[in-house]
Amino acid sequence: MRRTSLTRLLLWTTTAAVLVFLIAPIVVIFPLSLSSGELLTLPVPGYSLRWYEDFFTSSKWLSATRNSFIVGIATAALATALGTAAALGIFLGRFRGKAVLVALLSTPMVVPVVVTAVAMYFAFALVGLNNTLAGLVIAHTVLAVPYVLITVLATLQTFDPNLLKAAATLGAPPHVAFRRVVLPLIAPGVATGALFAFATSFDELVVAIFVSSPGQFTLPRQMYAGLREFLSPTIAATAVMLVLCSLALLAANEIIRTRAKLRMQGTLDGGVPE
Amino acid sequence: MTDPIVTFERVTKSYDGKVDVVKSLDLTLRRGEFLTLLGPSGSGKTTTLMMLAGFEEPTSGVIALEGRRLNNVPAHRRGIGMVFQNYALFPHMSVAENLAFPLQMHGAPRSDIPARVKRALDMVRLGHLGDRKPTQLSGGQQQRVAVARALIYEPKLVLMDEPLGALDKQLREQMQLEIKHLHESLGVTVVYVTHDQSEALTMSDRIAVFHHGVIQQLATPAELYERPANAFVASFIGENNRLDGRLTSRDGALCRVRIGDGTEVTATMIADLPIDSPVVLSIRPERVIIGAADSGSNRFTARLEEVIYLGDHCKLRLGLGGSDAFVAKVANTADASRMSRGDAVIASWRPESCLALPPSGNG
Repeated sequence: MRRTSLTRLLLWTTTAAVLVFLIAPIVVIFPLSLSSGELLTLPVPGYSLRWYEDFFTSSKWLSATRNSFIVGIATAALATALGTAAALGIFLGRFRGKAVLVALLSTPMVVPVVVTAVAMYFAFALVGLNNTLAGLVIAHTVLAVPYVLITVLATLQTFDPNLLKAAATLGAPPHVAFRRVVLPLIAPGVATGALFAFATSFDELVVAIFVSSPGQFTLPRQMYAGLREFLSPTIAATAVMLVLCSLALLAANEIIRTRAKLRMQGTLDGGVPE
Repeated sequence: MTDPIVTFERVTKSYDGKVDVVKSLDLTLRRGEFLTLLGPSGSGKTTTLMMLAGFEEPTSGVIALEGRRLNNVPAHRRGIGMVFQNYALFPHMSVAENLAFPLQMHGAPRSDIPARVKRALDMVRLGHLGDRKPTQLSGGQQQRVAVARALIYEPKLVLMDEPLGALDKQLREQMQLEIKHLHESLGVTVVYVTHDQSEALTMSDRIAVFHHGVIQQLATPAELYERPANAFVASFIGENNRLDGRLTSRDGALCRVRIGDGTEVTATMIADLPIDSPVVLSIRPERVIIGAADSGSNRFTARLEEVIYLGDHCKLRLGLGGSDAFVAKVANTADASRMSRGDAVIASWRPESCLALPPSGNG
């Protein structure tokens, strides 16, 4: 009995230590953002909301927020469309080398971001896409598509191809079959993919460093600039808001998943005996 | 009833360019008939069905529906209904919405749809389940919805791909009769695929027996059973005793065949074969006569290996003619129950009951 509670204690302590290790850097931002002092130091001298006020009154922070959302939403839309189309093509297509194709389309996820960023910089320089929001959207889409592709492909594994055959025999042309049979059933996967795509763009820093100039600064880029130039706790306030944003995205994803599961089961659970 | 609705002309299908899954198929489907494509796995029956539905394209040859070429017509424009083995009901729609779907696709007036859905549900006796989701129904109920959905827009032709394979035996037999009755009352043409020969015999007007991509025989159930064209058909349909031998002489419709242990058997010729060619003898178990009372010209003294009791009849497994798997079916009489292993029994059959068949060919 004593040995079991000792191992239990050890397990709980180790788990707690790991969790603290993982979360502490994020949690420490919260009190720092409420500091009344002008430097990012602990312990906090006093509490104040001035850095939040600074954020919401500063044109460069608000413009960065606007840019982040514009680029994020555009990236999500574009990457979701492309990634879903690719996933459907791979799932339904009959050709060899599917695994190779998936690997190829996933390379942005695997290749070090800085390599992708440098490559984009040179490629965009050729066509004048550097220092434009459109260029940034394109770059982020390239990074985000693999996430959408893999998420939607995973969802399609549970999709019954016979449903498409049935829809065809019932007279549905392919685009109607997609809208009324495929999309409703893969919607949770697509929505998750869209959220991942948005999150990828929203958090992205390295490519933004190479490809954007102050007019297109996103929140991460602005925070990075702030760290270099003026180490103000406004950065902490921004970070807190980004963390809360990510939590909201996670929650949204969970809601989507749970609702989809419930809808499939109908209002009752289980089957009805004959 | 005999005008053709679908024709296959020299249809061949190969997936890899090397092996033909369906070989130069010629087939005429009559309007209103219930045709079953029967055969073991890999015999080409399902591929043929898929080509008719539009999910596979023939490598060569022409498929026509009411005279209209179907090659390169996509599946959603063929007007052919289909029922799948795993039902393929849309899980995110209710039963009623599933049934409304084909009506919407075919442009039925919206006001008509609820009444037609109700009629379809009543036709398969599921009138009270319209609002349920498919996952809330049992297998048999789901299959009935699938059948109703395929029929609701009144297609000229309905295909069924082993639709009862996932059901248990009793439910399967009940559904066989239901589908058969629906076919009779609606007059729709049905092409049915199955590997279960008793299912085919029960439901079909005609059966096409497939083997290695070729139709071995296309005939009514009775004809397939009584006059199989070759050894494969004889073995596949019903129970069959098979003895290999060589043709020694011919005399009109009859012939003599020397079997494995040297004995000569008098049989009925099915195909025109030359002397000394290999033949397979086929004798149905119920045509084997046990006992000395009525002996045909084919009389053997066999060793009784096993008695199998089946309630209304018995099967006797005999060692005869070099084979120990020879089966005779006898009624459950007092004589039968007194037999035991090791007994010597007299087994015989009439020449008309014994067919000399070509070994199954690929041609």
